[in-house]
Order: sequence, then C-alpha cells, then structure tokens
Amino acid sequence: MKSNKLMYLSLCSLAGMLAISGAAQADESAYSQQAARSALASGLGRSTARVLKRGSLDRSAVAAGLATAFGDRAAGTSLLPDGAVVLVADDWRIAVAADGTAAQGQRVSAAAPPVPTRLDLATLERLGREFISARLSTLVAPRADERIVVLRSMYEVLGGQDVSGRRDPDLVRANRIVFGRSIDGLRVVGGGSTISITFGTDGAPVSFEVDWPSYAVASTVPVASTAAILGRVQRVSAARAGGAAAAAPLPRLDTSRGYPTEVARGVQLSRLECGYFDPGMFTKLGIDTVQPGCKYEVVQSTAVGGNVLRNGLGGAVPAAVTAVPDARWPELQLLSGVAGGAPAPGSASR
Amino acid sequence: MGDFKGSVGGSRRTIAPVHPWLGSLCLGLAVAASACTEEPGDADEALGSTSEAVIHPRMQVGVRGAADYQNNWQNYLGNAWNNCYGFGSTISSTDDWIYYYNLVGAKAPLEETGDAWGTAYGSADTVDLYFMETHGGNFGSDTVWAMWDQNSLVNSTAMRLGDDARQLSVLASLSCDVLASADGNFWGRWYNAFAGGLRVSLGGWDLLYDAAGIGASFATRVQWGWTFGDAFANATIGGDGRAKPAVAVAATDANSCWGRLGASAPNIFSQARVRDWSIGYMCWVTWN
Repeated sequence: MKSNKLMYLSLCSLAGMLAISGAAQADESAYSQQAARSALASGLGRSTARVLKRGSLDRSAVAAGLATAFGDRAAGTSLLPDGAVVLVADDWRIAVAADGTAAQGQRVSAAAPPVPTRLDLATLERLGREFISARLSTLVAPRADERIVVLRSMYEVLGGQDVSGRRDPDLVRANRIVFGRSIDGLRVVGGGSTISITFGTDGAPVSFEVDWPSYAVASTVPVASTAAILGRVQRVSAARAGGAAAAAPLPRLDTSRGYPTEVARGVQLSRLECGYFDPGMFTKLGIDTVQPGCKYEVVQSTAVGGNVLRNGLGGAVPAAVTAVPDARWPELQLLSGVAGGAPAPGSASR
Repeated sequence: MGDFKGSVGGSRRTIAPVHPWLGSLCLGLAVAASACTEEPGDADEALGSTSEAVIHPRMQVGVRGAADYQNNWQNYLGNAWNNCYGFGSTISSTDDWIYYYNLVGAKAPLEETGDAWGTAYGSADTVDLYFMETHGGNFGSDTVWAMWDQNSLVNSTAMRLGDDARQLSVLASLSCDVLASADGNFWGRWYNAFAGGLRVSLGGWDLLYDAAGIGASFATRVQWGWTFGDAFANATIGGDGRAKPAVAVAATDANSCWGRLGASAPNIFSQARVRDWSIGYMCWVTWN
C-alpha cells in the first residue's frame, strides 16, 4: 500500500502534468446552490414552519442493525465514557452515539492509492445513495414527508514537499459526498441530519458519518420576514465581530448581487441557508428543540503590517417571529441580550 | 458561569465536578478498559469483547485560546471559550486536562523560548496535545498565531516542538491559514516547528469558522478512535460547512509520511520521533 502510494507519486512527479491543485474543489449540488440563493432572496420562503423535538433512538438496536449490515457478526464492542458503543464488524470499526442518533464508521483495511483525478458529484451521489440503502438503513429511514437531498462533494487532497523544497503534485486521496435531510420541503441546517460518506479513489467506501435523529412535531410557528431574518444576521455578525464592526452603524444590506455581501462594517456574508436549525449530536450543545433558523457564514480580516489575518464566523439565527427560548443556542442568547457561555480561562504564569 | 481559574491544580479540581461520575467510572481506558465496558443488562455486551482500536494511552492535554484581544487589535472570537472548554471538558473523560489558559503573554510558551517552562505557564511542550483557538495566518516566511497582547504574534520559525519536557505530539490550532501550502513554502514555515519531533499539526489551510461545538465534537471523534486529521476535519466542517481544515506531519521520506498521516490517539505514542536532519519530507492532507 505505502509503496504503491510512493510509486504513484514518483510517476506523477515524472509526468509533471497531473497536478490537481485547485481542480479538486467541492462541487455544490443544484439543490444546495438554490438553497443559498433563496435564503438571501426569500428567507425561509414560507409563512409558517414546524418546531421539532429531536428524539433519541435505541442505541443497541442501531448498533445491532449496523453490525448486521456491515458483517455477519460483530467481532467485539466497547463502551466509551460518553456512552457511545464501538463495534468491529467485518472490515469496519463503527461507533454509535449514546443516544443512538449518530454513528461513524471507518474501514479497517487500506484504501486505494491516491490518484490525480477525482470522482464527480453525480458518481458520488450514486455511490452514496447505494451505500445508504445497503448499509445505513437501520439508522437512516426517512419518513413519508422526508427526503435525503444531495448537498455537495468534497475531496481529501494529499500534498508533500521534500528537503530541497520540491513539491510533489497534489493527489486525491478520497472523495466525499454529503447528504442532508429535508422535512416537508425544508432542509435541516447546522450540521444535524447530515450523512457524509467517503470513498477511496477506486470508488470503494472508506468511512461514513451520520447524524440522523428522529423528530417529533411539537408545534407550528409563524416565520419572520426575510428582512427581519437578515437584520438578525447583521446584528449577530456585528456583535460577534466586535471592535469597529460592533461600534459602527449597520450598513444598508444589498442582496441584489448575491454573495458575498457586507452585513456589518468589514464583515462579509458568504453563505446563508434556511430551514430547521439542528447543530447535531457531535457538538454536544444539547439543542433538542429544532426550530426555524438560518445558518450563516461570514468572513472578516485584519491588516497586520503588510499582511492580513482572516477569519470566519459561523452559526445560525432564529427564523421564527418569536423563537422558543433556548439558553444553549448562542445567537438566541446574543439577540436576547443574555450573557452566558462556557467558563473563561484564567491567565498562565508569566 | 463564572470565570474559570486555569491554574494546574485548581483547574483539575474545578473541572472534576463537571463529570463527577466519570472519574470513578473510568480512570482511563488504557488501564480500566474492562470497567468501562461494564454496563449490566446492556444488550450491547452480548455482541462481544472490548475493541482495542479505540483504547488509547492517556494523553496530557493543554488548552489555550483568545476570545478578545488587547485594544481590539484582533477581531473578537465569541465561541473561543465554548470550543476550548468544550474540548477540555469532553476529552477529560478519557485523558488528563492539565491546563486551561487564555493567550495573555503566551508567545514565549509556544515558541522555543518558553515551551518547557512548565504547565503553570501553559507551555506547549509540557503536554501531549495542545488545543488552541485564535487567529492565524500565512505571512509567507512564517506561519503566525495572534496572541492576546497587542501586536504579539507567535512565529512558526521560532518554534521547536516535541523535544522538551513532556514533548508535544499534537498541535491542534483552530486558526485560519496556518497550514497553507499552495505557495510552495510550507517547508520553510514549518521545518523548525517540526524539528523537535512534533508528530501532528492540525489547522486551517484556508478559512476556518468560529462556531460553537467544534471543540467538543473534535474531542468526541478523537475519543472514538478517528485519526486526528479526520476528527479535526469533521469537527470544523460540521456536516456541510465550508471550513478548510488540514493535517500535516513530517517524516524521513514520502512513504513514511503518508503513513504518519494516520495518527490517532490509540497509535500516536507508537510513532517514532523524527527530528532535525532526519526530516526528509513533510506532507499534508487538505479537505477541499
């Protein structure tokens, strides 16, 4: 395996024409592109939406189902301190979260060697849907009003440089497809209800990660106007950016040219997606009331001498006229003027 | 919640009540794996015995970060405490969370000057895994990290990690652009930092996004036995986000370099240190 990789590198170096740097960029699905456009133009795109309660699943049943799907029997299991169970089934090591709503799996055997080319979005979507159907149906079982929607492809790219400074051509190590979940036509945004499946360069699956809880409808609430939602994005962005952005008046928002658009002084909105906000199990935020929200990503920068330090801020603002109070949702607290958050550290000795 | 006083002894006493049941339940997966697998009446037990793949030697973990900066010389990072505390409190159920400090006066403890001063100073080489959130950048000849103090930048060429005290193995920085490689000068920026024997560096090759929950989710994935690279990438991407994470390692040659990218908590200490002139190749994986 390792020598194969080396051979590929050597061949690529000799050929000198297989560099894929810049070419192996993520592809957005048409669904995802449209979602980002419509969020800026029309917010949630409806006048009412549901409030959902994120529910747990039977961890043991999920683990047993995955063990069956991935091999004849589990060779061993262990229980981690967070209550997750880890099992080895056939050629896979799989972890299932304590509440049964999330799982990860990694193939144990070596993946195919890296290559200069990537798998395209359509191929990855096909491979991904086949994998979900064959291996993940225990956990991923959409209800009648739910759909699995393809979001984007991603790529793991290998690079290297030797002592002489010579850079080897970049190679694709793995190809990833990301799916989301729509409920009654609205997608879950924020990281929850996401399926990521990674394939080797030969198209064989090498890992997966799933967050797929059950949702129960708690209520229906009126949705805020697009202007109100964008105003929340502006206020949150300015407050989070701090400094001049927080002190300056908010700029007049111009959404006519799409992304990026300035939402606060020096802060550019690079993406917005609206739906049901669920940050997922892995964040441990404990947000189990899943309500209308819009996920945002903004970018800012600071000049330092002749250089620039850039940074991104990500999160979600509520999209209901009146959000259900939740102390675990940072933006909801921020918009409510409530201080809080994790404990700050002390200073080290100097 | 009140301020977290991050002195070494104090921090551990303060942390303990967060998960009071964990200390008694699992003193460490490496030494108490059988205890951790016991859950009377659980159907999972019928599936088999303990998997060695996720049990890892206890790591000593240091956490530092900056939310605000002196005279606002850098932009605010409102989720820095969420991520730093989230990482530390989560990882502490399987590993030893040694310190939790801000980045006031933190330049020297990250560079060779003070990386072995001691845990009370938040020195990088006094732990196995150092997690940090702050602004980062690629300044051409140097990778830099912003400290709290105005105009204070840690320079990668002034670092030498992995050779003193506990000998750092993993540098995880939730910082943009620190593992940039497209300009062809990765070697120049990172050789000194790796020359002490540092095993793994994690960070952004382009933009990362300050968002709540990244620290906790990174820790969870490390505990679940994922490679450090995959754990960091999935945590920063957060499902379908646009973050651009990367992992980098140094090795004697390209062949061994690719293998070392598979470092995870269970195998990190089994990787031989590669130092100084023995480093013949540096490699990385970027998530695009």
